[in-house]
Amino acid sequence: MGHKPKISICWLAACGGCDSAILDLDLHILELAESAEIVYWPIALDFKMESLTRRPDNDIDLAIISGSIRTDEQLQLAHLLRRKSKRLLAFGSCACTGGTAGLANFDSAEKLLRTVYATPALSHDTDPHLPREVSTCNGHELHLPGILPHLHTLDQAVLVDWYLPGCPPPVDLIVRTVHLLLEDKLPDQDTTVLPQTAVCETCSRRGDTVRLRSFNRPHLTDIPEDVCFLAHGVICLGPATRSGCGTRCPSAGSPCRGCFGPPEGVEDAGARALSALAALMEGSDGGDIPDTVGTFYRFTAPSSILGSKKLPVPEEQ
Amino acid sequence: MQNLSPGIRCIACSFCTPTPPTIGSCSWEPVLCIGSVRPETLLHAFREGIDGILLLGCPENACHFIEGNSACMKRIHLMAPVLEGFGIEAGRLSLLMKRFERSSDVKAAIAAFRQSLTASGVRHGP
Repeated sequence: MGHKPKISICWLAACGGCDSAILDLDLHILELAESAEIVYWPIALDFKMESLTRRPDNDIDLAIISGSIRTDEQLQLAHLLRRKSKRLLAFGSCACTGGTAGLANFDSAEKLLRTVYATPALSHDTDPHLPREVSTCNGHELHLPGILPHLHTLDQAVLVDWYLPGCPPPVDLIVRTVHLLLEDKLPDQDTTVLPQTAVCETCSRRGDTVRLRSFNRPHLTDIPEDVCFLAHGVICLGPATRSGCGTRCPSAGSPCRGCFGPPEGVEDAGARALSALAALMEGSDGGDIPDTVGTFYRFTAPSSILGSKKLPVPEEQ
Repeated sequence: MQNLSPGIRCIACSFCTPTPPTIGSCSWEPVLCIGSVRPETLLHAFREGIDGILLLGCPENACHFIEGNSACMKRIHLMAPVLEGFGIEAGRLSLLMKRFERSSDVKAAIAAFRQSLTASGVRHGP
C-alpha cells in the first residue's frame, strides 16, 4: 500500500474481549498507530457512526469487526462498514462462528429478554420492565435497537474477506495479521491466516490408547498435566477444532472448548466433534453428556447446519 | 386435502437389507456400510425438512466392515440430544441393527417407523 492504510475497528454483539486483545498488543499497538490511520474505533476512540456515513464508499482499507449480529442496529452497522471498506476481517469467535452468545439461539428472543430483564437471577426488582424499542421520557421519544429473532455470524450478513477466530484471538496471531496487513501481504480472500490442522496436532498432552468408557467432569477428575483429557473421559474438542491458539487452554489444565471453530474443510464443528468422540467410545452406555448440544456447539451454533439462519438482504441504501 | 404422510429417508446396509418393492413416500438409499453415513448427511436431511430417518444396519458383531454398525450406533447415541437441542425429537432418527431376510420385513419396519412418526407429527421445514 502506497499510502497509510485506513483501518476501522468495530464491535457488534461482543463482550469487549476482542478489543481488549487488541489493547494487549502492548508496544505493537504503537506500531499500528504509527503505520495505519485508525478512522473508527468506538470502544477506544471518540468516533461516531456519522463519521463513517460521511466517508466515500471503499474509503477504508480494512474493517476489523468483532462480535455477532443480534440487533437491527448491528446489522445496519455491518452493512455500512462493508460498503465503506475494501476488505473486511471477521475478528474473534462471535464474528466468525457465532460464539457463546449464539447459544441463546436455542431459545426464542422473547424468552431471552424475559430471562435477562423479567426474571434476572440476582435482582430483587419487584417491578421489572422489558426493554421497548420506543419509549417516552420527560416528553422525549427514546429509541433502542430492535433485537433480531436469531443471532447471526458476520458472514451471514455481509461478505467477509478474512477470518481470525478465537475467544479472543491470541496476541501473536493479531500481530501477525497486522504485519501482513501493513506489508500488504494478507492471503487470498475467504481464507484464514491460521493453520489448517486440529488442536490435537499441536497439543503436548498425549494419550496412546484413548478409549472413552464414561464421560467425566473436569473439576472432578485428576489428570496428569501431560496426559490427554479424553484418555480420562473428560470431553475435549481438540480433535474437531482448528489449531493456532497455542493450546492455551490444555496447557493451563482446561480442555479445549472449540473457540477457534472447525478446521479447514469441516462444515459443522459440532457434528465433527460428535464423530470424533463416538470413534473413541467403547460402547454407547458410557452415560450422557450434560448439555450435549451446548458442549458440541458452544462457539458454533449459529453457523451450524441446523442452527444457521439466513438474514434478509437489505434494501439498497 | 393436505398430505400429512411423514417424509422418510431410509439408509440401509446393502449386505443385510433387501430392497423392498414399494415403500411409498420413503426415499431408499443403500450403502455399503451404515458406518459410512456421516452425521452431517443426517443433519442436512433434517435441515431440508425430512420428517424421519431410518438407518438399517447389520446385527451387532456381524458388520461386514467389523465395527461400522457400532460406530453408527455410538454416533446416533450422541446425536439424539443434539437433535433435541435443535428442536427435533430424537425419535425422528432411528437405527435398527438386524438382518432382514425378506423385503416384506423391511417394508414392515418402515411402516412401523412411519407409524411412530405420525404420533410426532409432520415437521414444518427447518
